[in-house]
Amino acid sequence: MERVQIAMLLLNSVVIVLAVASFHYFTRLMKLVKVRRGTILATSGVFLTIGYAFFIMPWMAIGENVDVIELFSYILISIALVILLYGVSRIYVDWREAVR
Amino acid sequence: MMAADALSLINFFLSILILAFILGVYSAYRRTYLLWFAMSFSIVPFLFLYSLLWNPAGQFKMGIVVYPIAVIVIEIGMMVAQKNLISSVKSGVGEEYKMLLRDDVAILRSYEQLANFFVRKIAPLIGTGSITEVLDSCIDKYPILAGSYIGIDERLNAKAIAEILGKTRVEELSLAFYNLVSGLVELYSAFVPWEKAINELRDGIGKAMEKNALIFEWIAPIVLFRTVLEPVLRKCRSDDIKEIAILANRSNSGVKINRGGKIDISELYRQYPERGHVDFIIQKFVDMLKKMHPIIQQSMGEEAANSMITSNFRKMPTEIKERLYGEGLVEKLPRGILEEEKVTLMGREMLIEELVERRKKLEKAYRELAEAELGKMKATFLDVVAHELRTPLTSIKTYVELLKKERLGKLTDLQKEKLDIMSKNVDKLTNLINDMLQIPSIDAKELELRKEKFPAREMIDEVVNDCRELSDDKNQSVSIRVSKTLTVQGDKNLLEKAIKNVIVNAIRYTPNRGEIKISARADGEKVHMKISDTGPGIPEDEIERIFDPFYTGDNKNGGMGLGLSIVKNIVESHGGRVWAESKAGNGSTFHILLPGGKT
Repeated sequence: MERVQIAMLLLNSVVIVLAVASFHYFTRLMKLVKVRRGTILATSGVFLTIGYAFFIMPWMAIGENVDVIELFSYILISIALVILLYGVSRIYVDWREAVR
Repeated sequence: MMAADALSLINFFLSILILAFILGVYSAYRRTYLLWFAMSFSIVPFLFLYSLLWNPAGQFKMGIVVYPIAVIVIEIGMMVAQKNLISSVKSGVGEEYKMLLRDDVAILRSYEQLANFFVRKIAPLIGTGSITEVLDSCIDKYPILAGSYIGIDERLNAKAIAEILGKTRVEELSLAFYNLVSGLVELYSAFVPWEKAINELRDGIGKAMEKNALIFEWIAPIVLFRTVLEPVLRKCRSDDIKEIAILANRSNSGVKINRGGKIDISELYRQYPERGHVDFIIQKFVDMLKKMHPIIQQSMGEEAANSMITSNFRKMPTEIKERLYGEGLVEKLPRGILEEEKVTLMGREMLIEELVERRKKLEKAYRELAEAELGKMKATFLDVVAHELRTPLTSIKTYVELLKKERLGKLTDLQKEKLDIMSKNVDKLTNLINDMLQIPSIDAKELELRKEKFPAREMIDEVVNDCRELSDDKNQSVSIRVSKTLTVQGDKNLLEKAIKNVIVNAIRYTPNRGEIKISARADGEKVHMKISDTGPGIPEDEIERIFDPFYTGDNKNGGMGLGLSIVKNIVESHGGRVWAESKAGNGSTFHILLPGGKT
């Protein structure tokens, strides 16, 4: 196993633990607040996670980059960002109304 | 890897945009959690920039670790932000409470606050044992309250309910808390006079409303039935209470009354419609009051009953009172209740109507005054200008004539030629000034008319002869169809001037070898003249404005736009009317209606 593979495995295990903890906070938050775009944010989060998973998978498995998988992960991340952009813009409009 | 690079670039811009929105929210509403969100997300654009610059091959392979490290930092930032937001919302202070808290959670908090208001009053008197008993019996009847408890801090803790709120209706929550609060009021009234307990209920509800106005539609029935109506019922004779109770219990009102006059509105919460809660409550309350009112009046005496109900209405918490009055409760109440408020509200409505009416009148008067002032100013200005120009022109004209007649010395041929040009231009200017003095905005005084009867044909022939030179220059044919017996009444000179203006206009705008038709016929007591040409016509949107002074449209003939305005002034001062019909490209027809010469 290459050095880069070990580093990626270790670091990404931390990423997974933190992602689980973050999801826990997110569900707690959604029970309290009326972030009406919560579903949009969650959908974006799912795409982002899958995109990231595809991005790091080859590095953990073979310690190399695989162009096709990298492209696929970028597409997923792009979709996630578009959804997130829509979500935050709607939240921005909501807040602007509320603050006014 | 061009495609991946392009996507990285797109993602970079997308993340910049997202960051801008987050910062936008932060700038509008500065809160620590928003800053944490912004700070952690600000790493994302750098990651995409990094992916554009970093080469994954060869010795830079280890550069991949930047991604998980960045993600860890982002995740930590997001968690701190979320934790911060949760505690901010939970603390119940600040705007988050109103802006962010879910409606059902906010309502639960208000109910919890109201219940605790009584727990705080009862606990020092008898401890929390009896309160726990009341709570337990409510939990048995309403499982939605399960998990709530009286803590060691002698406060009701209902946080467990928040966990199931998304799956349950606010009506159920309100029903459960209505019963819990009722139980606590009953318990409290065992130690203090019942009236005091009801006063405290009013206070508690007022405080809950101050914190969260959303609770209004759920708490209004308690205020109306328990704090306005119930105190009155309890004062009635037992026979009358019995009669009222039978009346209420028989109907499908959702209100139950026991023999002591205690009102139970549990059923009302079960009947809550999907929408229009406030209308529903007001309707139910007014219906019930109207049924009970005669019996209450009979029991307590008309004046005492009305005054007690009125006084209870006035004691309602201010926020509730304002909302209910705003929803039209007062107008629907039976006669004798809240009469002063009815007069005030009606008086206010009438006052508003009166004010609106007066404002409209004032605005109209102001507009008219402004127009009149402007018209007067224009008239004075142009009048002064015109007269001031005419005086020196008369002097110039006199000297030119003297020069031309060689009274001031011999002239060469060239000098004579130039003096002729000067004389013509002076005449032109004088005519223009005379025209200006005849348009309505300049000469505010009515035209002085020398009325006489004369044949219309004679006048038209004279005008056409005057214009013959102009029409011949353009090889235009001018046809006249006017009966010789047709007579017109008016100032011949002025009418000639008006007709001439229209005909000259027609000649000017009609192309070479065009045709101009002039006709006139009797139309009742009037004479209807028509002057048609085969010119380019007038665009539809301009036709209304061609009679306005100085309106020239896209005039290429160099006029000042006074001719038609003068026509209008002259014709109208004769009690006539002038208008035009035209279609772009199909020529124009001017209609002039003048008083006929019949006697």
